[in-house]
Amino acid sequence: MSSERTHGGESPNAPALGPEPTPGGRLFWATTSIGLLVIGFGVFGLLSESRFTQPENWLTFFVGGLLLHDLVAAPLIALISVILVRFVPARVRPVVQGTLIVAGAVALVAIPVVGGWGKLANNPSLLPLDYGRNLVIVLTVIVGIGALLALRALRRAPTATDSPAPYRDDRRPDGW
Amino acid sequence: MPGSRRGVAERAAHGRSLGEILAEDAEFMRVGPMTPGAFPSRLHQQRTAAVLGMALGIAFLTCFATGLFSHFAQHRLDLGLFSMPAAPTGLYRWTQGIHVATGIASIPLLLAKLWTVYPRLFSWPPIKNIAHIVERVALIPLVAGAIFQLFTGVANIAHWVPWTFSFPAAHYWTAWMVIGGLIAHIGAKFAITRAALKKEPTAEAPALLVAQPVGTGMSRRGMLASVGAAVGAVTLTTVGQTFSPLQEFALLAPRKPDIGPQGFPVNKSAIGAGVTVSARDPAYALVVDGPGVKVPLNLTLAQLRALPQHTADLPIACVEGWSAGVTWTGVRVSDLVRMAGAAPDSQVLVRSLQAGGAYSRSKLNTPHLQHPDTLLALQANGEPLHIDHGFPCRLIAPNRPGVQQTKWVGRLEIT
Repeated sequence: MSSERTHGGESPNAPALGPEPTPGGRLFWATTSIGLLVIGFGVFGLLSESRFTQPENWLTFFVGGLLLHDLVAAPLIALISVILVRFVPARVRPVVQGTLIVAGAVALVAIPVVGGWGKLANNPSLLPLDYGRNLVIVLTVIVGIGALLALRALRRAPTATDSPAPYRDDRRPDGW
Repeated sequence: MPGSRRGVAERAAHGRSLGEILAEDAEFMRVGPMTPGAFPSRLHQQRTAAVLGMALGIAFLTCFATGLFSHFAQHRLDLGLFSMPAAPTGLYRWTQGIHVATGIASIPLLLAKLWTVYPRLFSWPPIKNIAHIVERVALIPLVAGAIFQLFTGVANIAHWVPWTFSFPAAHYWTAWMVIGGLIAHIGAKFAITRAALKKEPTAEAPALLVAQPVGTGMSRRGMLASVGAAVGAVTLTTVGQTFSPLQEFALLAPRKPDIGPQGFPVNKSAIGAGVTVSARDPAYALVVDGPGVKVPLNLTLAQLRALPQHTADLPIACVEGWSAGVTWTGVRVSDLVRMAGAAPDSQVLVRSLQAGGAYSRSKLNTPHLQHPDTLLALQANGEPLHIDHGFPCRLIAPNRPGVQQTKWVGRLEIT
């Protein structure tokens, strides 16, 4: 995995996020107490209106969304990242990453309208557009802009970061 | 070498916390994503987390404030302190447009923020002390709730309902959990966020937090610019559903303000509401009665048309974040109240011909009742109302959620 050595975090004394600070202190306990009370209010309200909120069904989506993100979406993004680092040259990688971020966000937000599960025969003003075609148009524009930026990146003179430089940790004190 | 390991009590006596001792003894479990360097990207940074966190915090507070406004526009607090004003006319159109647009814009922000701090999910030791446990537990309603709110919101505006709970109730109560989690999170991360946002080094916040490790690929600035571009892209392709100057770009919005019968959208059709027969009944007559009425009225459509007509330009602004400006013509509700001999500050319950359903009736408070633009509209954009817009007549009033602009009005109950 030589390509990964180009990243700062590979150096044992340079974790990008740093060690997690130990929480505590007056502000922490003050906001945590208020926050837990407000959370409790929400849980109480949800349970007290259970006829409408259907806590079991609610919990499926509440926990399901969290698990889907933490156990499926995030590892999938990591996998895509590893593939990118392996196969995309450093010089155009930022542009490819940026294009994927923008295109991915648009595609995700478009899922409910492209899926069209809410369409109603008796209400043609709801979901009135050809969203599949529109998504293709929007993604084409995004990828087109990305391609232009990639061309520009390939034309400019090479810089230091195009060839991996080892991370030097000479400014960071211990224990931040 | 287990033989050389000191006992728990001995290590505690040397000032180790219980969390540290457990972490030492459980070191063999530190595998996979919990190992140092498991997340090699230089973009998992304090400063990225701080910038995205600030943006997301502002977005969530905006959604919460506008969401509460919408909630109390529909479920009046009967405290006498808060009553929905009738002016400014387009206030609800703006607040709800902002609510939905900000929610959509939060999606790339939330995903980028979660990506940045994802290594923290596997931080070692998993728990350090009581405060650390409490902090991590309070993150569950924040993160799960944020995902829940954005998913249910975006699905709901496309009328995609893969759940069985009531969306307004679940979205409302979950919002409190998210905001509670956010309050706790702001306090827990206040110091480190402030330090990470400082450009110049100070005594309490070394600028070293800002330093970006050298490496290839996207820079921090590039990542933030890309997330900003993603926010721009999802906003530009949807916000035209309420902000009409951008409607030609609204390629992915669930509504277009100019598509629908008579040139504006419908939320519930006549077929959906089951009123196709009753609304077209030739014997239709509007009933005005109730304990506040001295002269009960029974007005046919012809009689309603013969009453003084008024025209008002009022938006129809849906809770789902779309809106459209429409020119309405009809009878002032305040005129009907006066004709029925009721007091001008009466409470009016507007009832639809639609049988049942939470939105088959709505209440008019005094400011709305007395506003000269509050009409029982018989026409939209110069033509008789389309049945999907509420023929024979519908309520239209300024600064009101669309679900309370009752359609197919059959009765006004005055108390």
